[in-house]
Amino acid sequence: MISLMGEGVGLLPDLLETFGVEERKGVLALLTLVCASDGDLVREEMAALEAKMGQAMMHPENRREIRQMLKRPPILEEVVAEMDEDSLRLAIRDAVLIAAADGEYHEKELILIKKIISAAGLENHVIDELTSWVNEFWKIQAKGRAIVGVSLPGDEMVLGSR
Amino acid sequence: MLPDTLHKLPQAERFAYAKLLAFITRIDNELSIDEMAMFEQRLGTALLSPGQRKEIRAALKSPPPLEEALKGLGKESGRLALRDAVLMSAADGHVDEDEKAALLKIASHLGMDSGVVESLLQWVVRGYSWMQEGYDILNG
Repeated sequence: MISLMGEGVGLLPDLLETFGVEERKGVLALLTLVCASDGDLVREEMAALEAKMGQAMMHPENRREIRQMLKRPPILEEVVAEMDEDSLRLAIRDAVLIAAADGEYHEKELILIKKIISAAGLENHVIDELTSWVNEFWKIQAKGRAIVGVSLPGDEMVLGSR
Repeated sequence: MLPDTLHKLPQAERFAYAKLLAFITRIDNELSIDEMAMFEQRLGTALLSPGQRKEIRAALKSPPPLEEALKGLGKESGRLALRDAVLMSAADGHVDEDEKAALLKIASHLGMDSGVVESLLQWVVRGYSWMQEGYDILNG
């Protein structure tokens, strides 16, 4: 057996998997708001949302409910009111990730994320830290593709940036 | 979670990709909830139809032999499947001998050097650190 990071240390579980169903639904509801906020739902955002629903192990019925929210977005304040601090913080992380999915952050997405940050009792600078963190993820993903010889337009530039 | 090329591939290849991950997931005859969550995440990224997802979940119960799982993979989908097979194998922090042997077979089938598997394992380690950095930001 090859241990990569020491005994018992791994990628799993993501914090999302440790939440109850209602908390997971809350996180996903906030992600639908981010997806819907700029008015366009691109395939990349859909793939990201589906990935999150998969990771959250949502029941098919719940997934249908979440997808419906893209057409009929929930009210931010109502969703936030039902969430605890941990799930709100995780939603911020994933909101920044999903906002980046189409390659740029839209003003409406950022305003929405700042509202969630405020509801979670965090400072606004968290958004800058998370966007830097997402930039690092672009690089990691590009590196993973480069190892297997697959590339997306722009990967070379991402890998060349510091 | 950020855009990849996977969702742009033909549906049949995405299906083959998921079948290979089902094989890898069950290689040690164990399936933890955490592994299942990661598997479901990859299925979501692949944007498979509900019918295909059902079929893939059935493949988790009786996984296809490796040779069958490799069928239907194109050049790009095969390479992405290798990358994500390494990711899934290593997600619990270690890769056992059977998993490593299967990963090397997949690489060989794709005409890739065995060093690719080692590079991907190092890449996964970087991913661990990156995830932890995300938690650190949220914890202030």
